[in-house]
Amino acid sequence: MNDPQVKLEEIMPALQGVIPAIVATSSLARIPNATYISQVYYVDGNHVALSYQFFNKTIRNVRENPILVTIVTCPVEYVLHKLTLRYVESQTSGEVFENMSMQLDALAIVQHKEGIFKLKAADIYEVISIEKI
Amino acid sequence: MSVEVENLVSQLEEANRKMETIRKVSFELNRLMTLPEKLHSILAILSEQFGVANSLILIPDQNNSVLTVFASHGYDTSIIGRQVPLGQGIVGLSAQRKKHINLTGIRRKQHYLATVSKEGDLDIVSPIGLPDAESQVAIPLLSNDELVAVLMAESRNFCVFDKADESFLITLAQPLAVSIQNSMLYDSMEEKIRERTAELQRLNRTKDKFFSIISHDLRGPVTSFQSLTRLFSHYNKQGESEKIESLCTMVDQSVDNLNHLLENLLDWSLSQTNGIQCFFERISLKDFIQRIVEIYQVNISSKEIDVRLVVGEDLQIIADHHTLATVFRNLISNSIKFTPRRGSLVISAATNDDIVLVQLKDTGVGMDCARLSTLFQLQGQRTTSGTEKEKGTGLGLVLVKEFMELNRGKISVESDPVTGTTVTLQLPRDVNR
Amino acid sequence: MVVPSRHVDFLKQPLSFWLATASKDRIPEPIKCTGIAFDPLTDIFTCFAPLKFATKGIKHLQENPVISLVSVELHTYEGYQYKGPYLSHRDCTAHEVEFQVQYLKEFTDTLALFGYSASGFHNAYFHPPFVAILFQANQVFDQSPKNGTGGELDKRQL
Repeated sequence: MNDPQVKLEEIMPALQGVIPAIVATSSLARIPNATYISQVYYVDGNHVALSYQFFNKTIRNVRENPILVTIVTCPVEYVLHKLTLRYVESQTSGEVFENMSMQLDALAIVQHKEGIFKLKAADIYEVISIEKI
Repeated sequence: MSVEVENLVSQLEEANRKMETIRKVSFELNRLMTLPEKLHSILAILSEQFGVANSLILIPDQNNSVLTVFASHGYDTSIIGRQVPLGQGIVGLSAQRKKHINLTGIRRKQHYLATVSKEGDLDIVSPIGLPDAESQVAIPLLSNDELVAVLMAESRNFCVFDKADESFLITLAQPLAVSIQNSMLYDSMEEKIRERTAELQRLNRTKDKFFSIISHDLRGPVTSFQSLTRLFSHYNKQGESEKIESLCTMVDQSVDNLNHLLENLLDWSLSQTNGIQCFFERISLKDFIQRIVEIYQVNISSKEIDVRLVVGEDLQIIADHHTLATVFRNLISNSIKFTPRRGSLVISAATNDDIVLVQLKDTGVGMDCARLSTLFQLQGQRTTSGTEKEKGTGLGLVLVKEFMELNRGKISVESDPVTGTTVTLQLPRDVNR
Repeated sequence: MVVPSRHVDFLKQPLSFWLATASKDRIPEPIKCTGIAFDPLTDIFTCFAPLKFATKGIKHLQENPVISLVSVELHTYEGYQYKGPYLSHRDCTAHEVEFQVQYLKEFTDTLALFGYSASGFHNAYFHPPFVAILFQANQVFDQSPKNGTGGELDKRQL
């Protein structure tokens, strides 16, 4: 359930990838892991997506322990919000995947690197809570 | 409570603003105007309603391979005409996939990609608009799934186009596309009307010329026949056979003139209706020119003009007999007409690689610059009387130029009132068909 | 020692630092770190953070004393993650607060070069009072973004 005070739509500027987001996960053995990601993508009022480009510790952790916590920064107000997310599924087709793919392609094409940056999947997460910190 | 009211008020104001935009845009879109006007009008409204400083409209070519900037707002005018291939850059990709793109934080993202992939040199495609845009939205304008145009807006600030703006622009995309298509249709119809009008004007001029020739230039010789027949009758009654003899010579000349005029008229009307069929054959130039000169022997002798041919015996060209004969007949008859008594006409030919150059140089009255400049134009034609009042329709030189072109040749004229006129014809020695 | 000696200078730059903890129920928590001090002789990191950001994380460390520190260079995206057992935490000294002020100035100035607002970031991160969290690194991972990233640094690479 979302915190009734903050809706995902209210923090849209923070979900545009202007400022990278930090993502923290934990393995089953309770070892924490932190990494930067480029963008937390808005999907709908209750869901966001993270891009899966290459396999890494974050992906491995989330597959065994689905809770992920990320802190996003608004590039206009510089306000921080902490999002607690639960991994739902990986999509390799559909509107979310197509849009994320196209955004990646649009940037890569400018550098003649279309083949190099390929989206493997759009990982969909349910938003459990949003907290202004 | 007051926060909720504030939110509601703000939402209401936003809705009002959007309604106002729709109203303005609809009004502008429905107006019939040329494409450039339509595009500038659209960008002006969007700029006013969205506060966007930089926007462009690009139109694809017929092959849907390249986009060209047709209208801009907030840029240097030199951006008009700039091109980007479909599939390249944010705008090109949006056009190719017919899907909108909304990106922000572009510079950091580009930097990230560039840093992360160190393969090869960083070869960045120059963006079509701002070199340092942070936010960019590209919306393809589709009508029946066909790409009509692409609308692009950008800014140096972050997060300029939010989801609501994006949705609103997408809503407007279809009516924008249809409206632009209407303007394109309007423009192409205007163009067709212009072309048809020009064609009609040309045909009108042809018709006017035709009537003018028939009413003025042909009546003359026919009227003179009347006087001649009366003179015939008179001299016959008087038994003055020498005078009858000289009358016959005059009749001959008049008939020749009339023939010449009628032939030109027929040729010209055929050429106007594209009825001329050329048949190219090898022609022996000296004999050809000689035979034409003989047609005018009577006039040449009566004006005592010295006509000389300096053409090699075995010089041959490839040309269409009938049209080339018309060219030479007109040029030679002109020379004779405008050369005073005891003048001269030299017709010479020389070769140069695969061209034959024929020159007709007379010691006639020549032409001034004004006359020279309109020599081959139908509109500039007025009947000019020869040195001994010989008549003409003015069609002759128009035909000469057209027929030279049909024979894949060229004509140039030099003239002045002191030395006379030199006409140079360039004909192919061998024509590949 | 697991931390390569060349990291000593690397860590002195105004990098971006974040900590991560996990509760015994495996709920992760990221903590904004406003500067670090590294002792190459002991591989002990002293990480500074605003207390208001670190409160939850510190609770986690009581029940699951494992912590991660990620440090990334903003231009090249060169980055490493250091993991190890949590040792202790305490309030920052005045000297350490001064150090954080200096670090944040350099850090936000670097961000300003990318077109961001230095004061925006400063206001987002500078929240006294500050705590110092200590841990000893026993694993180092390469996080520079590329295929196959995340690999643990071979001790022979040191």
